[in-house]
Amino acid sequence: MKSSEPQEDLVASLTGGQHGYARDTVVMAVFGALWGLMEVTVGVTLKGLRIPMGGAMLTSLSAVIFLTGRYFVPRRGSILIMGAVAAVLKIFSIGTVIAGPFLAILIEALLGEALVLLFGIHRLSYMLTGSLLLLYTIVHPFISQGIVFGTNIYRIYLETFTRIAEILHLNTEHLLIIVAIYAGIHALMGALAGWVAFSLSRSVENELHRLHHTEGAHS
Amino acid sequence: MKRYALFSGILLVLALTSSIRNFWYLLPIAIVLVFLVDRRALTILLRWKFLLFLGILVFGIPIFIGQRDALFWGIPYSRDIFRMSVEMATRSVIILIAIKTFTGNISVEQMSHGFQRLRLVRFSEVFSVSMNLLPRIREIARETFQDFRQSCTSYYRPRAGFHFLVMLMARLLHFAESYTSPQNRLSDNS
Repeated sequence: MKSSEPQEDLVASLTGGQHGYARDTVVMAVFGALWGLMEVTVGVTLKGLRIPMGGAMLTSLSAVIFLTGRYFVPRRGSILIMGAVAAVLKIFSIGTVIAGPFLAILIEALLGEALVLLFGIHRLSYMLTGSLLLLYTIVHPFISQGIVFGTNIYRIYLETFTRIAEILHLNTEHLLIIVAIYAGIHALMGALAGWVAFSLSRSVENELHRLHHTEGAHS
Repeated sequence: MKRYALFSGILLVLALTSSIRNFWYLLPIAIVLVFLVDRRALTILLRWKFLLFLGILVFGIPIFIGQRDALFWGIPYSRDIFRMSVEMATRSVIILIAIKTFTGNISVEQMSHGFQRLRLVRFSEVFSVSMNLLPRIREIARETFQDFRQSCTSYYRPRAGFHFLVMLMARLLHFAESYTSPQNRLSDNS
């Protein structure tokens, strides 16, 4: 894989020729772009097909990408920068700034960054990060609706659920079980995404060594 | 941009001060102001899903929940819930048109500058590099998918998807490392 000279000049001018810094800049750029491309292609497809839990699937895929990226750029703030690149690429594709998807990507990145900083880089931490991130996707609409409609919306939801439960002859425990199952599915999806991200990082590392060896043997 | 940010800020203050007593004049004032400043922002009010949601919120919910203590054409409804619904609907309309006015008048470049101001200091570097690399990243993804199609017998196994991701990410990282290797040599020499 050859790189063109003008692009190398660009990286050199931007990074001042420091190798570690330059390498991390390019890796973050690559993973940010990959995340952005995935949001544009897979995100639009999932939204178009109206697949149930499409948002959770998209967040899982995003988590796999940025957690793998973080494995190769163990620097504070790298997920946030990848997220910012992905968010701007997404709005580039739309052509105008739409607050919803833009903020969603940034919040994912912010949460991902905070959780990885808190738990570190290992399999369990990745699984926890994935789970908490996916659980947040359940809470996110309530937070954004609380901002737009005000806190009274929670009273409306609560009273509506209670009324529906009355009509269907369900008690609060049944509703809690439904919510717990829904949350459990999300947490499992997140843990799976974290598991995949860590395994992927390890396998990519091995594959990368193999590629270096092949390249060395050829040269 | 600053003008629109200030205008959106004023709208947000209007939204936060809206209540059952003042909604009947605050809402028209907000809509007329937005019509004069940027009428495109009002298109959000023409979305049928949003209008349906507001309709259910204001006219459906007060009939369904709460203490039904008033009558409208013989239909019992909750006055308290109706008051809350009107306040929420007013607030949501004003907030959404405020956000739309702001985001509709900010360019991607301005957004990018905004990130730099937010102390995401490396953002501009990373973003410039990613924009330059984007065609190559697409090319690598396409090449990897073609190689994967030739080598894989079944695309539907989870293992196959994992293998594809390993190939893709390894190639992207290899590309990223080869991309910066001249800098490596430079720093080694110095």
